[in-house]
Amino acid sequence: MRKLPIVFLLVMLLFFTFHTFVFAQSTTYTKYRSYVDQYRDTKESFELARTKHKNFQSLTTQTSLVQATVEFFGLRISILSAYLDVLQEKIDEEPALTQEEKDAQKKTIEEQKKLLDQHQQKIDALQRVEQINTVSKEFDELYKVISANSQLVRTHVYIGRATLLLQQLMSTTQKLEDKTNSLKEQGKNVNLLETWLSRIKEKTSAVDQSLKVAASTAIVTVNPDDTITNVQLASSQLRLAQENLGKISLFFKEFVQELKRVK
Amino acid sequence: MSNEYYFHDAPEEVTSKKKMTRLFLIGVFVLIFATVGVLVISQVTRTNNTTQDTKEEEEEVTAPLHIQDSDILQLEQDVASSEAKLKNFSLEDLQLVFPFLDVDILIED
Repeated sequence: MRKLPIVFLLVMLLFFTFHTFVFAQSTTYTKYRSYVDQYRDTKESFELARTKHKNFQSLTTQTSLVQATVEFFGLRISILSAYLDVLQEKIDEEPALTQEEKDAQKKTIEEQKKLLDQHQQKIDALQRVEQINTVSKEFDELYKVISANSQLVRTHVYIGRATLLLQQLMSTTQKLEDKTNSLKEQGKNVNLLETWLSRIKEKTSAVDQSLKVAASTAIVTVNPDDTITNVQLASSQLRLAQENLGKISLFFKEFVQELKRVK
Repeated sequence: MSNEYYFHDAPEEVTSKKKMTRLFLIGVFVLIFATVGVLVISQVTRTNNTTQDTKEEEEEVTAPLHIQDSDILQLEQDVASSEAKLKNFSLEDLQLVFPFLDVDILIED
């Protein structure tokens, strides 16, 4: 009977080992969420330490403020780092991106992670209140850069997804065209079918054009503000593409209805 | 009273404890098998789904260009499949939304 707790412990250990192994993919996001959940409390602790130091200006409040700052600033870095891990995982799993595209986006993410690591070292080295503002300002710049570059990576993921979707729609369009030609050869009136087909092709071409413009616009620049502008331009093209993809879907339906009528 | 009375259980208690131990061990093994079973099934389902997806993709690529007259149903299915994919296509993947963090944090003198 004395061995039972040990057996129970072993079973639990076995269960969690399997659990971690099978559901490992979702742990990155869980980790990211756990950091985000800690954010508000850590920020409040920092603000409290800052107010105390402002009011009392003692050595104790200074030490507390530095400690709270290291924790709060460190958490911001952890959140961004975990977010980049999630992004990385998403890219690894993304069927719409080619290996080359994945490698390019991974490289961007790795560069961002290096910048975060370097900044973390500065946070760890914080010892005096006077150093806090300098580190804080550096983070603001870093945050802007990482935000811009991450949005760029996201945009590439969306472009990849839209491109894959377009290819599938083009394959369906080809089948519709073959069907129209086949009916035409049989002497059927396919005028309306050809009209719908022409509209589908027009929209397909518009989507293709939008995606090409989006891909050529979504590029990294030295200035994060310019990168954000590029992301916005690419996103507007993506939205246009999405709108036209929706129209293609409607035209497909109309085509099939007409096809049934002609038959 | 001898010390034996305190340190050794009565025969019927020993039998009862043995039964409890057996029951407990059976329970533990059932738990292990159930856990491993669930994990294996979920893994197999995942693999099957992936295989099915791959097959669907292969079929899409290798589908003949010339379609017979009786294939309108197939066309409808293609259209429905494209429509479903369009519905799933979103520019707002929540897991990809960049975290909003406080900036411009300064310590006043």
